[in-house]
Amino acid sequence: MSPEPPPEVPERTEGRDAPAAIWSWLAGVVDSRRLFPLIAAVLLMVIWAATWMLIRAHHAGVEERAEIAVVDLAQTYEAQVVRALIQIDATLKLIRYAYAMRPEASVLSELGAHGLLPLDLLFEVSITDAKGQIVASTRDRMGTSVAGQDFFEMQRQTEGFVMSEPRLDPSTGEWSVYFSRRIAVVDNGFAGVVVVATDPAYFVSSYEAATMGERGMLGVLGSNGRFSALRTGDTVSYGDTTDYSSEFSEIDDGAASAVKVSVSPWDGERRYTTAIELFSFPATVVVGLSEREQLAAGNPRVVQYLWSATIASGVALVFVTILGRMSWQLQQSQMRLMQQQVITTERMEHLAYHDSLTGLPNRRLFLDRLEQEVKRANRSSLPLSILFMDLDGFKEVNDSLGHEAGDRLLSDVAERLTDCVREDDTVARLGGDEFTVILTGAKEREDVERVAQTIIDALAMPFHIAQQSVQISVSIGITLYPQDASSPDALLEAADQAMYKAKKSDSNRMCFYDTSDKTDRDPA
Amino acid sequence: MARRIRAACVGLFLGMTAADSVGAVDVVVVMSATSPTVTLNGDQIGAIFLGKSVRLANGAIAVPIDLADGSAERTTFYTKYAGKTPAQMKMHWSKLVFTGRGHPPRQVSDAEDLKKLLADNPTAISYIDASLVDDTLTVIADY
Repeated sequence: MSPEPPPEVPERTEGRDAPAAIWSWLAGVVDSRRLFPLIAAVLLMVIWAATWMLIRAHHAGVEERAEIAVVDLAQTYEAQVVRALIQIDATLKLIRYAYAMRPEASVLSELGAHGLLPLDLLFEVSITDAKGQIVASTRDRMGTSVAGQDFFEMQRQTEGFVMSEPRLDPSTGEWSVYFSRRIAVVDNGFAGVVVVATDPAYFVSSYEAATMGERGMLGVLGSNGRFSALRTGDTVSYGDTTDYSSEFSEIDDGAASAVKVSVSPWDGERRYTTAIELFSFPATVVVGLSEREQLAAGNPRVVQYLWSATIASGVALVFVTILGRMSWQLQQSQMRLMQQQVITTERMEHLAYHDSLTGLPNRRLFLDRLEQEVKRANRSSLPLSILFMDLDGFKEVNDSLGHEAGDRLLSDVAERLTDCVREDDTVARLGGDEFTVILTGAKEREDVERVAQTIIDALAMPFHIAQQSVQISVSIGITLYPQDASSPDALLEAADQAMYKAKKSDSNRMCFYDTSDKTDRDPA
Repeated sequence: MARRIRAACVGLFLGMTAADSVGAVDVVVVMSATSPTVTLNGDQIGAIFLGKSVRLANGAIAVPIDLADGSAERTTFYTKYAGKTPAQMKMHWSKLVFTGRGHPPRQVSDAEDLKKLLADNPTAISYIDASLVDDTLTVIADY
């Protein structure tokens, strides 16, 4: 028999502290199984987005510094090249002047003795006549000819400072670049040239691996747009035949050089490149820094950022996992507590509404059920009947065999009664040796009578209690609703009266309530 | 068309071989006999000839003097004290001259000129064939 929910529901949140209630509410709003992975995902997103932005900013910084560095290097380099060219031109003018004063081969050794010639280790100085024959030289070149060389032919035409294309001396395997000025006689006729020659590598010797890396570049572009010398790392190239003037045409706008990031056509390296066209000499200086090397220099920082982000992610994950686990455990214990409370409440409800000896509904629950069944009978117009039972001979058993045997007998009676009715019917113990049954299914008076007879027969069978066979009987009073009474209380009262009537008559153990009985009993 | 300056590293070994082949030349570092006693180690001597200013014990700056380019003494000396071949020395001075940071030592044509120059300059320092050392010179290093 499943008890219907009792009318009063005990306060379930009783004894629960406030923070737990708030937590419970929060946990209800967002399921922790979804909340903590969400927190973890958000944390990871924040960490990696921040890292990505840091790396971006770092790269931007590296690029900006590279551009500043390349402009800086170009300006320094420009100054060095210009100074070197001014020194060379000054030497050319000095020698031309000295030779005009004293046109003899010994003029060079005399100037050298006074320390007026450029460093012999690096520079070669020569004087030619109008036909290109060398008439004086700091090297052993007397009698050789420069006729036909580009600078000599240019000097023949016009006065000016001429820088030749680099030229390989097949006998020594060494490259030279020739700087020259023409020697004129009184009537401005061509009388020869003064020449200073040096290795083109001289003009790119300021390459500094510490600042420019292994893939940077320094170069001097001649007026023909070709590199006189081009250095990358320790490699120097000479006599390039490609015209690069178009490469640097956009960025050779004097002092304010723009930095271009592009692939150098001669070696395929991507570089930050800038060029400065010299103001007073027919040359352009070009400086480049390898993009790969510049970015690689910043890699340790990027690696550091990535490591930090990885560690932060790990810490965040561990933290969220621990938090999630704690939350889950809290929820679990909360749930167990609630389940225990429900069980306790159910037990207490059961105790309050049931007879502890037989486990049958007690008077309270019986009255409650009766009221509900009456209401239901009113709605459905189905008949309802009450069987009121009182045991005969119970007091004797109790007195002769003791209370324990009496209790045992009551339990056995309860069991037999329950077996006699359908599951929907309520069997209750009102107290002492009084039992009641609410029958809801019996349509006819005969049906009720049959059930009552079944009960009488069942209880007439001997009980085995304390190794003894005990024989009792039962008196049953029966009322029908709505014929016998209109209220649950009156119905029960009537059943009680009918039971007394049955008890008094020896022959009949069951008795239906008769409305005339009421008047009989009233005066009594 | 490209020449690797790095190839000069190979030249270092060639230079050493050259120095060994002219090993008959025993080069010693000398100053004037009138110079105050000085002690310089090999690195300091190398530094003086590579264009770095090194002060002597009396506070004066040592003035290096070179023998002619291509002389056996010069090649041997630079191999021993600076670890550089003539080609590397040329690169070294090329860079210093171009960037305006230095100038090679003054150069004399032979041992006689050197002796005269050292005699007049107590702070001057040079190197010479050991067999040519006389009482006008003090040997300050002989490795």
